[in-house]
Amino acid sequence: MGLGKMADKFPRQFAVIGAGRFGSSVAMTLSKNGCEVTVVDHDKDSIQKISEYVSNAVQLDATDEKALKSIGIEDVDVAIVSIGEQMEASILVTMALKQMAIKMVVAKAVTESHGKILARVGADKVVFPERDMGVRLANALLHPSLLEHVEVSPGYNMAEFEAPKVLWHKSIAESAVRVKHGVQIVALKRCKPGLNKEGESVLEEDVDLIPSAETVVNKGDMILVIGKEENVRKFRSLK
Amino acid sequence: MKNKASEKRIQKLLEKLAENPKDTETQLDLGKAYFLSSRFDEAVKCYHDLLEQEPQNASAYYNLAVAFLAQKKNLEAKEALQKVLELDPNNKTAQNELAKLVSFP
Repeated sequence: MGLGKMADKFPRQFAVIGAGRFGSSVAMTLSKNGCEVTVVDHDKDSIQKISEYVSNAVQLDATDEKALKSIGIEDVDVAIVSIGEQMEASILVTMALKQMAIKMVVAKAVTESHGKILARVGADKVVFPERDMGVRLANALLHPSLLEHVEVSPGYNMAEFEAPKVLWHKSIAESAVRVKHGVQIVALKRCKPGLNKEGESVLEEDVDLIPSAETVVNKGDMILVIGKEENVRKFRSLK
Repeated sequence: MKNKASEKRIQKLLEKLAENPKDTETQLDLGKAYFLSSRFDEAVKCYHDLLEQEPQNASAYYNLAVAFLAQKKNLEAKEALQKVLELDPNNKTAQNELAKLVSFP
């Protein structure tokens, strides 16, 4: 099952095993979005640090199945195993969580073979944060204006980048984006100047989802575009 | 309506500045007024004029950085934010903006 499909069912209860940088970041983001998050780590300091951001932070050895059960881990919708560096432990914990019939177990891998083992022991999704970040960084260095690039399905991409000059000061209809370029603008993001409480300058982000044909694109606007891979690539390269 | 009000404010500040060209407070206000009207080049010029007179003005550097950010001039924005932190190392807003600017994506 892909993470996208899973999101449709609105999982609310999460467990994050391992409160390192990756695990903490996942836990805090879920928590910020209103999810109930339990974080488990054997390190007292890590637990103390994360405890103010999540609903529950417990210091225990995650390879101890009984200890995991004692905190009701079986009831979560999704468990994220983010102890990739300790390969043996991550495999054992992933296996144990799947045996407890947790619906979705996401595990962090540090190498390809680690990922293969995690998949074999039942992980529903394996993530390679370092590898994926490397790919994203390389893409960002090659295409500095490209913020995000996602394959929607084979041959179809969604990409976020700065609006090319040909679109500036024209409405989407005038630019005939779909007809001329074979892509669809699905969101437009622009920063509005403002002042904060202290009277200092701030840029407030304004997102226009599914902008209408009359929407005028300005210099500096960011656009989220969907279309065939080749069309998106060509459109992105426009000056 | 809003545009008219902004223009009026800019005019007022320009007149005030004409009376006292060395009034750095008005220069800062004028820079912000230009910024609010999306006249970023003029805002940048205003802050530069101010900084010529008051090179230690951290607030001018901060507002200059945000005007650069609005123009997607990230390198210049970064330099201005670093300058803010040189002058005011505990400025949390500048610390956050700089971290945001250099982090990926």
